Amino acid sequence: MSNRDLHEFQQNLIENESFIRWVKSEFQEGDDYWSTFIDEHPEEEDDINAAIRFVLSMSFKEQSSIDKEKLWNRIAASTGHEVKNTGNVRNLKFYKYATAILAAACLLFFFVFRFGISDTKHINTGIAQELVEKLPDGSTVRLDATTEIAYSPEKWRKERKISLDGLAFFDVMKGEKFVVETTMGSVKVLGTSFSVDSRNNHFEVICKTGKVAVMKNSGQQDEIVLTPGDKVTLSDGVLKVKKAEDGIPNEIMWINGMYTFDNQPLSEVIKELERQYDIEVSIANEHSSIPYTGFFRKGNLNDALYSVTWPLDLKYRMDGKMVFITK
Amino acid sequence: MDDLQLWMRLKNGHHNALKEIYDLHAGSLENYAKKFTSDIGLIEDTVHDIFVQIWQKKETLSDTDSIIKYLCVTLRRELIRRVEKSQKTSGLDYVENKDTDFSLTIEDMMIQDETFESNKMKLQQSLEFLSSRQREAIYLKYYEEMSYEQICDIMDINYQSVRNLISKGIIELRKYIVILLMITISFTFV
Repeated sequence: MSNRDLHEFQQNLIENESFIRWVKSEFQEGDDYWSTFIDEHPEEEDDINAAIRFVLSMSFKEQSSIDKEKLWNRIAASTGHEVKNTGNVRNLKFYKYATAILAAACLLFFFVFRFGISDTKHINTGIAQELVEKLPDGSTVRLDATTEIAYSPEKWRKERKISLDGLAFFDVMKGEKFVVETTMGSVKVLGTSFSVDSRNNHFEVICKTGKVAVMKNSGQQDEIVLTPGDKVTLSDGVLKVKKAEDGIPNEIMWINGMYTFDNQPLSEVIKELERQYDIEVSIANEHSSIPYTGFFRKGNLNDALYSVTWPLDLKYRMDGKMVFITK
Repeated sequence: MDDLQLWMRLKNGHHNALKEIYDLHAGSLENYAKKFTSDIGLIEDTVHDIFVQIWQKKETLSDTDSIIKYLCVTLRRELIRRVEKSQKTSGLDYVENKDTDFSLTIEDMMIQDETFESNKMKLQQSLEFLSSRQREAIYLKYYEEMSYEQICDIMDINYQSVRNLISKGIIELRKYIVILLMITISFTFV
């Protein structure tokens, strides 16, 4: 191979989409095509290595000059979702002014936009927060951490419809049809209480009282009717029911501050911990897929971490808001 | 959570989805915006306006399977429009940004020694010889890991033009790297 051809070969590799993807994915993507290619072309190893180094070196200086949080607060305020003060004592003075300005901005927003464009009310909770929202007919929604609901107070008399993103418990007053919509499925009731979990592409409904009809958004499957203690979960695209009479009635544990898991990967448990406590968990990939069955409670972070790590023979260490879980 | 689902959540009026999109892409948007202007205030205002706009017309947004592409197209159009307006020059379809924020992490390819820093400086200077368009295309390809087709859509040029921009840019870069490696090696042996 002449020198010129060699350069062309390297250049072609550097510009090849599947080669770039393979290198950038730390050699994971592409069904071993490129690893096999290297094995089969040992004479071109140097060129391939040079191309790999080149693609890897094409990263860019990331010098952030924008205060991302401040800019988000601006966007949030302009979209009618002012960021709630999470209680930083040192900044109280600043917040006083900020709140006054925000209040003025919101008032303006309210008059300009609320009546003109949209009458939808949005309510959301942050990490480690929870909130109970009373709906116009006296029904209540209890929002768990990082959950959002949207509904129209004006249209409520005509149509009791609420859209949910997260985990919530509904206590519905008797009346016309009441509908909860999520990305994966929806729930239709008359008067009852039930819990809906729509986090992480998950869809789970537990009925506490009354009757609940559940349907998924895509594919064909008849709606499923739940009676007290029944639970339905969307898994592999199919709604699966766990009836109360098949065993112990399913309880809505999170309402009592208990988060239960049934053979779920540790990564899901960690996500829940991060939602309930304002922490960031660091764990090796090999450990995050270990299945976990058990529960943790809200209120005491140490106890919660202990009840998750101890059964799996793992250890944890805390450093400020960071938690490290190791073998 | 894939882009399509995140986008659906946004269209269904979930403000959390807007926040997720912001958290995911604000860094990329800032980096990309700096290919067009060094005016941080302008970048902040434009990003702000784009997110507010998306929220206000969320019900009528078209579906997308690549949110970052959607954001880049919008940001690019808006920035170029605003920079042109402020410069009051018409007919210019591109803004040259002389304060380059573009650099390569060449560390792995070079022998660590005291001459390293000065070589890095030289490389950065040489990068200014790349045209803004070459830098933009290379940025989208190797940093945002976009496909050639996506880059066509964002830069609003045809497939072959994108391939040419990147190809010529890389040939330039490789020339400089070879020269730099030679300098480094010669220093090591002196």
